[in-house]
Amino acid sequence: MLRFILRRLGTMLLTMLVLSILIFVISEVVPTDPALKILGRESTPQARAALSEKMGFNRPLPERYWNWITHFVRGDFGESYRLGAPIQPLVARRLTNSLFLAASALLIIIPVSLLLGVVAGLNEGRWPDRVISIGSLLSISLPDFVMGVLLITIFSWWLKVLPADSSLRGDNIDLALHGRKLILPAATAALVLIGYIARVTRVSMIEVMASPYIRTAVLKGLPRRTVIVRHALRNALIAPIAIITTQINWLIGGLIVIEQLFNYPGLGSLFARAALENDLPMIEASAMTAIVLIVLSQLIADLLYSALNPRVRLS
Amino acid sequence: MAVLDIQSLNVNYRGRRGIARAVRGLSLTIGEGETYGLVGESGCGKSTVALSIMRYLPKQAEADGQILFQGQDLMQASDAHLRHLRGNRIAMVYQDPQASLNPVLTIEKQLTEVLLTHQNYSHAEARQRALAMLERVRMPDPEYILRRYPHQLSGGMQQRVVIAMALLLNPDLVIMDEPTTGLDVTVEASVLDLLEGLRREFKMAILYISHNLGVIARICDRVGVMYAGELVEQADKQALFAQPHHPYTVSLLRCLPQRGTRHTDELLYSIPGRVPPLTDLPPGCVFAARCPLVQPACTAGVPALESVGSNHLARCFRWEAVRQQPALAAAVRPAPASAPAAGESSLLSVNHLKVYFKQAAGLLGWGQGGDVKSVDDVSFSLAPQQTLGIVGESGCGKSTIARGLAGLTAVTGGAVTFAGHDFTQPIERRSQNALRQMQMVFQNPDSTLNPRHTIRKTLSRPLRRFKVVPPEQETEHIIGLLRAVNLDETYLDRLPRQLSGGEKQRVAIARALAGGPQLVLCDEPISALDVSVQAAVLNLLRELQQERKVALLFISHDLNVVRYLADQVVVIYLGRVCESGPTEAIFNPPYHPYTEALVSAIPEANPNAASHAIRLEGTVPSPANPPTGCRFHTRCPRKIGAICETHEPPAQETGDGHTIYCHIPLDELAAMQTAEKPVQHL
Repeated sequence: MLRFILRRLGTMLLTMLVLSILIFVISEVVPTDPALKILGRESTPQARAALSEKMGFNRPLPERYWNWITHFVRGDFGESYRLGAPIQPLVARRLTNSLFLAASALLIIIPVSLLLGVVAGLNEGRWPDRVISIGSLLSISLPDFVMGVLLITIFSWWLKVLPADSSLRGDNIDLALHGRKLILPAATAALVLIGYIARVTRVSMIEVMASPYIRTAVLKGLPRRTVIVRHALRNALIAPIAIITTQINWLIGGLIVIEQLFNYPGLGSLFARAALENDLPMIEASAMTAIVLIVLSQLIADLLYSALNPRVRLS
Repeated sequence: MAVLDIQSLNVNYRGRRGIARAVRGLSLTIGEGETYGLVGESGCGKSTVALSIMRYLPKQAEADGQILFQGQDLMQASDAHLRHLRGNRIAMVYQDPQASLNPVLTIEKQLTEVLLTHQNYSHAEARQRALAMLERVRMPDPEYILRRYPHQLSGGMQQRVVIAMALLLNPDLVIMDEPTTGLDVTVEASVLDLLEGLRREFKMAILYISHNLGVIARICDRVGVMYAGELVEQADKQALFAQPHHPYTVSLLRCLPQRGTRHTDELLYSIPGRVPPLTDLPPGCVFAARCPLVQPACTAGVPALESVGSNHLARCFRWEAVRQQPALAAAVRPAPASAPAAGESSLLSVNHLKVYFKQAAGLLGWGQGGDVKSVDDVSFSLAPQQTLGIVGESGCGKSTIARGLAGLTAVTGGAVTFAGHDFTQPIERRSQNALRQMQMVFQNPDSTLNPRHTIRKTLSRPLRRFKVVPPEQETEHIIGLLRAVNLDETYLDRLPRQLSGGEKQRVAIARALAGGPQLVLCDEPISALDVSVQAAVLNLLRELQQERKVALLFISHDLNVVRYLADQVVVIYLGRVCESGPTEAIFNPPYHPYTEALVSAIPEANPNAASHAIRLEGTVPSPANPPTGCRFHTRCPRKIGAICETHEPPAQETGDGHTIYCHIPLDELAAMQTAEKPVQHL
C-alpha cells in the first residue's frame, strides 16, 4: 500500500511539473510577447520594453520558469499586474471559498444521487425507477446557467426564502454568516451532476443485482436487506464513486458560470477575470493552484477507489 | 421418502419471439444419499430445472407443477420458508466460481455468514466451523485462505471454497450446476475426486448437472437425459451407458471420440440438424427431425416416457429398434482415404522458438520489467497434409505458439521455416503470398466474425485480398466454399447472429480456406461448441484436409480429440516441450509424467473405466519465474530427487521420432506406468 502511494506521489509530481511548464509556456511564451499581451496593441514599444524590464520578460526562458516555479512552491505567487497587490492572499481566500462551495455541492450530490440511483436500480421498470429516470434526464439536459436561473426564480423571487446574490462582503467566508448564500450555487452545481451520477448508479446496481454472486448470496438464504447492503452496494457504488471523484475538478475550479451567476467569489471567477484582463501572474497562480488541488483530489480518489475494490488494492 | 420429488414441472419464458417452453412435463425423484445426473446439450433446460428448485427463476419465467422437498411443495413455499431452506437444507454449487463469489468480501465473510444467518453461532465458532470445512475440502492452509479475496485464489481453489460454502450446514440436497466446466482437466479431475469422497462422507442427495458424459459417468448413481426441455431417458448409470434406449442418448455417446479410435478408422458420428426452437416446437417427438430411426408415427404423436426395463424410462416409440442399433451403426461413415505417409519433406519446421513478453512496468519505468517466457525453446515440424496436435493445460503457451507462427505476436528468438521461407517476421511484414499460405481458425466464432458483415462479405474479403478468382466468379466460388463446409447458398446474405455456434465456426473455417492455404492453425476450434456439433466440425476438418490438401496445427486441451485427429502430438508445459512424437506413441507408455497425468485426468464416458491414480496438485507456476531444472518438478508425481530441480531433463528417444524429456530412464517409466495401469474396459 505504501509503495502504491509513493508511486502515485511520483506520478503526481511529474504531472504537476509537466502542467506547470504548459501553463508557463501558454501564458508567457506563445502566441505573443507577454508585454504585448498585457499592454495591448495600442501600447508603445517603449512602454512594452519598460514592462518587460520590470517584470523580467527579457530574461532567458529557463531562468524565468525557474524563478516562477520556485517562488510558487514557496508560496510566493508574486504581484497582480492589475491590482498591484500580492496574489497569494487573494488566491488563498478565493480557494477557501471554492472549497466550501465544492464541499457543499458534494454534500448534496453524494447522498442524493447514490440513493436515487440505488432506489431506481432496485425497482427497475417500476414507477420509482420511471420517476427517477425522467428526473435524471431533466437534470442532465439543463445546462448550469438555466438550472441556476430556474432555482433563483423559484427560491428567491417566488418563495423569497434564499438570497439570489451570493457575494461575500467580508474577507473570509464564515458559515454562520454566509451559510445561506452557499445553498443556491451549491444546489445548482449538484443538480447538474445528480442526474448523470444517479443514472450511472442505477445501471451499476441493475448489473450487480443480476450478477452470479448476488444469486449466490440470495441462495445462501440471506435476508434481502443483507444481500443489498453487504453484497450489492459495495460493488454497485464503485463505478459511481469513481465518476464523482472525476467531477471534483469541475467543482473546485470549473464553476465559472455558476460563480458569475450568483456573484460568488470563487477561484473560477478569479481565473476568468484574470484571463479577461490578461493579468499574467494572476492567471499563472490561480491555474497552478487549481492544478495542485485537482491532482491532490485525484490521489484521494484513487485511495478511496482501491479501499472499495480489493481487486485493485491487492493486484 | 425421496429428498426431492419433482412432478410434471413446466417452465415457460415469455420473450419477444413468443413463449419459450423451456421445461415440459419433467418429473424426477432423488433419494437420500443419491447422486442424480442430469445431462444434455446447452439450452436443453438443465439449468432451468436447477433454478426452479431454488425458486430463483427470472421474472419473465412462469413455472407450474410440484417440487416436493422432503414432502413440502417448494412452489408454494413462503419467502421466509425459502430463506430458511436456501443455503441451509438446499445448497448450490455453480459453474463459474470466480463470478459466483463476491469480489469485495473476504472468503471468511462469505463462509461465516451462512452459519451466522442460519444458526446461532458466535463469530469465533463460525470461524472455527469455516476452517474445519475448508480442511474437509482439502484446502491447504485454511487460515491463510480465510483472509484472501476470491481473485487471489486459482479457479480450482475458488470452486473448493464454493463447495465448502454449500456443505457448511450439511444440507439434505446439493444442486451442482456444471461445477467443473471451465476448469482445466487436471483441476477437474481433482475436484471430481473430492466430490466423490464428500458425497460418501456427507450422505447428501445431489442433483448433478453436466453436459459432459464422462463426468456424469464418474460421479452419478442415476442419470436423466434432457433434450429440448424434456426428459427423454432415465436409468441407472450402468444401464444407461451399457444400453441406452433413446436415439438421442445413443447419438450423444457416439459423438465422443472413443479412446483408441483414430481418424484413419472412421469419421465420428454427428447428429444432423439442430435443436428445434423452444418457441415453436414441432408436433410429435421433439427429436424426430434429427433421428436416424424416424418413422411417420414419430411426427404424428407425442411419445410418452415409458418403462423399457427395470428403473429404465425412455421417451421413444422405437425403443425396441434402438436396442438393436443397426440403423445407428450404419450412420457412421468410413473415413476417407488417409494422406500418404509423411515423406522426408517438412512443410513447417520450428526450431528453438521463443516468445517472451515484457512485463508491464510502471508509468515512469519503475518496477521490474522481467520477461514472461510464454514459449521458451520449442521445436517441432509438420509434414504437408498432416495434423500436428499441441496439448497442455491453460497458460502453458499453446495459443502463443500459434499466434507467434501467424505473426500476431512478435517472436523473440528461434527459427520458423514454412514452405522454404523464413516466417519469423510479424504479420505486417509478410508478403500477400505468405499470408495466403497460413491461415487461422480461433476458439470463439462469435467474436471472430464481424457481426455487421454478411457471410458473403466475410468470405469475399480473402478472395479479393488474395485475388483468388476474378470478381465475376466470386459468388460462385463463395457458394463452393459454403458447400465445402456443409452449408449452402441460403447462408450468403445472413449475418453471424442468425447462425448457430457450429454454423459460425464452419464459416470461420471456410474463410480460412478461401485463399487456398497450405496450413491452417486451429486454436481450440471446437471447445466452445456442443458435443454433437464438435463431432461434425471435426469430421469437416478431416474431410477438408483430404480434399484441399492442407496441413493442420490443432491446439486443444481435449486429449481424446487430439488423439482422434492428430498424426503427431507435442505436449507442452510452461512453454517447454515435455514429449513429442507420433500420436500412438504419445498415448501409450512410456509417458512423460505430465502426459500421464493429463491422460489419467480425462473422465471417460464409461462408468466402468477405472480412474488412474496419478493426479497433479496445484496450478501451473508463473512463466515469469519458471522453476529451475525440469519445469514440471514442482508438480511432478514421479519426481526422483534433487536432479529434477537442478538439471534440465535430457531428451530420450524411443525410436519413431518419439522423444521424452525426463530424468527417469524410459524403461523404468514404462515399467511403473504399465504396472499401475488398471485393466482397460470396453
